[in-house]
Amino acid sequence: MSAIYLSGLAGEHANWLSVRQTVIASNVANANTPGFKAKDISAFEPGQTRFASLVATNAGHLNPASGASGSFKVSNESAWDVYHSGGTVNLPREMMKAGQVSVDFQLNTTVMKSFHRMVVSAFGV
Amino acid sequence: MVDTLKAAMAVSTSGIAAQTLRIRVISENIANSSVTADTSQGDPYQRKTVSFSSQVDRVNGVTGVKVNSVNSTLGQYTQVFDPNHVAADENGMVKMPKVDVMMEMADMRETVRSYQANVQAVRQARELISMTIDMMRG
Repeated sequence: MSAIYLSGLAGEHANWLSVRQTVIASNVANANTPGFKAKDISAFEPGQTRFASLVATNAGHLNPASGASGSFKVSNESAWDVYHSGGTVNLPREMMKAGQVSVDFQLNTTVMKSFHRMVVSAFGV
Repeated sequence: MVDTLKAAMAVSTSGIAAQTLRIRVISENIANSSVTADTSQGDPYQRKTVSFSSQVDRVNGVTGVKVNSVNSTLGQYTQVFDPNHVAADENGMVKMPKVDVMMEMADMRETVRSYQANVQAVRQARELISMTIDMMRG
């Protein structure tokens, strides 16, 4: 049943996309912060997050892997331009990346929807 | 995943708040651009500037932004010749605030662009959340 893995993969990818969206939002919020270096996360690789996080036994426990960056590697991206104040956030570039995230997320949810329809039709509901 | 997107919204909100304060300070500068002292000894309005710094939200682990400080540019003024002014000194010179309205306008445009970018980021996070919810509609 390798087909079941599709939903796991889609979940992982959606998670990766939402982390990327958060990093983009962080860049945009810090667009005018002096010395802020624009960041991005490493490319999506299936299976990256499967065995990553620890189980919290209490809701009050801080899980170092549960932050927005999760188990994805966040690093400074190569700067297109550098402001006099040292910031490297380029707003058009961030908007472009956000557009890519949106398109990929749409594809992800559409694939999941049609996969779900296939499963449901198999049951003849 | 939706929690992550909500964190993205929180970060964008911090950006919106920071830019709001910035535009408030800019309008203060423009409104007070010709405020002088009442006496020849007094100082005119001091132009204010804001500085931002990034701030890590420990709960979400994301980097937001906050206004670090609002600084006054102390002791900076220009002088104009106006002997009848109440704040004129013995040479007839009046200290005027060092506010360049063109520069404030340029600063304001930049603020508006950053604000728009933050609003766009909130809108996009909301779209991603509703796409996730829409999966349930089949």
